[in-house]
Formats: sequence, structure tokens, C-alpha cells
Amino acid sequence: LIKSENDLFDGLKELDRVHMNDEKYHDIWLSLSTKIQDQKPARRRSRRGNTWLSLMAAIVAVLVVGVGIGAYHYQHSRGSSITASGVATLLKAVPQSDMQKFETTLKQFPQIRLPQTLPFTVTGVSATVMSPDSSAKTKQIQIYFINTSTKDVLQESVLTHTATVGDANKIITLKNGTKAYYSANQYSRTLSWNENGYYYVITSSGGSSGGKLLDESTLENLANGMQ
Amino acid sequence: MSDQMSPQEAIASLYSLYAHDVFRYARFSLGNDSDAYDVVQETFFKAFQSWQTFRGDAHAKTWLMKIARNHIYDFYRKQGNKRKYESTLALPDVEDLGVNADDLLALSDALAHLPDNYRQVIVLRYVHRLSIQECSEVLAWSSAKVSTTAHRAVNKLRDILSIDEKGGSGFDQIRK
Repeated sequence: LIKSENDLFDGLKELDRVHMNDEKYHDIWLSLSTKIQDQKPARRRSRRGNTWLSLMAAIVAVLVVGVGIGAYHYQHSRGSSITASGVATLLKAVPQSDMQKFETTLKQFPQIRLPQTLPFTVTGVSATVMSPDSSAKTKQIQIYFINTSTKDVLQESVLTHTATVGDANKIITLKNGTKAYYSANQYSRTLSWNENGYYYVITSSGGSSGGKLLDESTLENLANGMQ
Repeated sequence: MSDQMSPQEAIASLYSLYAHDVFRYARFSLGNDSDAYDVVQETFFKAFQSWQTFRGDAHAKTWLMKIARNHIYDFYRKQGNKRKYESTLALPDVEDLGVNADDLLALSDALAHLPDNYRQVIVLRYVHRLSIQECSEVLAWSSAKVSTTAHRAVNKLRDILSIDEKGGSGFDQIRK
């Protein structure tokens, strides 16, 4: 059964069909969140004599915070699909000037899906639109998520039509049933697939500049979580 | 991921990316779902508690696997000889696999009869495909020890399977 290491890889790959039960996955997260909340220091109770004063202060604070949050969202999310989505948390360390350019570019392509989480803090983003053929009907959108300190990079390249995937080391089925093609070399790891008329390629290429290369399962999880 | 994210946000991100990987590591190592789920919860809770000590230069996945390994070792210690490894690992849909189900059952059984340290290195190296350096970080072993143990583990698996193929007595011999 195991004549070479490859046989072992293949056998274990088949055995590795252990997946977390989705319900259990959420249960654990709920329980974990509760435990995490319990770790926060408890608030001091106000003395009875100050109850009304505390209540008034709380109402004022809620109003001030509410107005602040409302103003912030009005200012930042007008017509934007970025700040309204989960990716906002991912990009919160990105300078506002970079964010504005990024959002302006991506507003033209509201269908494009973006990762909601990455295993590094994103401190810089860019999105560039190119026309790879002379007809200019096809667009290629080149998106970078980077950490300028650690040199981690995730590149997302999207073509506005489907394409044939070239060489792949492995075919992976995403949660929605889409076939994705994984390939890897010394400097980069890539996952590509066609979805809703677009061709997506996500590439981890930080290795050549000193950042970390994301592995196959991380790329698969990123693809599954894109929105 | 660093101080720009709150620990809660960071752990939520890591959970969505790596909870399944931690589960697979624990499931292969411990042999049952229930203990593996406990390891997942404890690993991410510990990660939250020690978030401030996480150095960005370590890969988040390796860091989590290292925490998971400590919890797995705790299980080994607590349960000692009472521990039961379920050898029917992940074979519910074996008929759909298009491969020889007997071979998979044999491999699953063989894994169940490996010593814990051999199984650990097999899981990290051949299931998670970590490099020798990454395995060394997770297991807190030297690279040489990882290479040697991986080599011996593969040979042991091969022995178990070939003995079993010949006379069906491989597992009895291992037990002795």
C-alpha cells in the first residue's frame, strides 16, 4: 500500500475526509465567544444614590456614540459596498487615502467577491483595472492586500469572463460545489476558479519578499469565505 | 495580524480560517470527534488569552497547531492507558471514494496502532503537509528529530501494513 511517500500522501488524502460538523463549528464558536466575553473585566456597579445620574449619563453617552457611528457610516459608506461588508474589519488598518481609491475602483465591479479575513493585518490595498485585449470588453482587476511590515501579500486577480485553468497540482471542490485549481511552486501558491461568469485567481506570493506563503487549506478557506 | 485588530477580532478571523485544520489535527491524533472538539475550543481560547504574546513573525497556523499540540498532550497524559483510538477514522462514505476500501481501512487501522509521537509527525507532515521546519516548531523537536521520526513512522506503517497483508497478524504483533 505504501511503496513510496506519494502513496502515503494519496492514502492519507482519502482518509482526510474528516470535517468539522458545521453545527458543531458554530456551537464551539458561540461557547468560545461567551468564554471570551467572561474574560473582560466586570464593570463596577454604581452606588444606589447615583442611579439616576448614571442612567442619564448612559443615555447621553448612547446618543453621542449613536450619532457618531451614524455620521461615520454616512461619511464612509455612501454608495460603498466595501465598508458595508465584513471586509471592513479586515481593512480597518488601511490608510483612508488608500481606501478611497480602492473603493472607487471596485465600485465599478460590485459583483466581485473579496476575502473577509486574512491571516495577517492588512496595512495596504490597491485595485487596478486593466484591459488585457484590444477589444477592451474584457477587464482584469488586479487587487493586492499587503502588510508593509511583514511583507505578507495576497493577490486577487479577477477576469470579467470565464477562462480555462492551466496547469494545476490539485483540484479542490469549494463549499458551493465550484471546482478550484490549486498550484504551488517555491515562491507562490495559487487557487483559481470560475464563478458567476468571472474568473478568480488568488495568489499568496509573500515568500519571495520575506512574507509567509499561505498553504493550500488556508487558500481554500479564503475562497470559501469570500463575499 | 497585530495590535491593529482587537484580540476578539483576530481570534474570530483565525477561527474562520483554521478551526477545521486544528480539528483535523486533533481528530487524527486523538482518534475521536468529542476530544477533538474540546481541543479546538481550548486551543482558540488559549490563543485569545495569549494573543499579546503572539509574535507576528510566526505563522498563525503554526502557532495555533503548537497550542493544539499542548492540549493533545494533555489528553494523552490524562487518559493514559484508558484512551481508545477509534480506528474507523473518517470512513463513512468509503464507497463513494472510488479507491480500495480495504486499503483505506488497513491504513486507518495501521495509524491507530502507531505510537503517539509517530502519528503526530505523520499527521503534520503528510496530512497537513507542513515542512520539516514547521513540524519542528509545532512539536518543539529539532529538525533532525522530525526527519528521523517521520522516516521511522513511515517504515513502521509500511511494516504494519505488509505484515497484515501477509498473514493478517500485523496488529497483533504491534500490540506485543
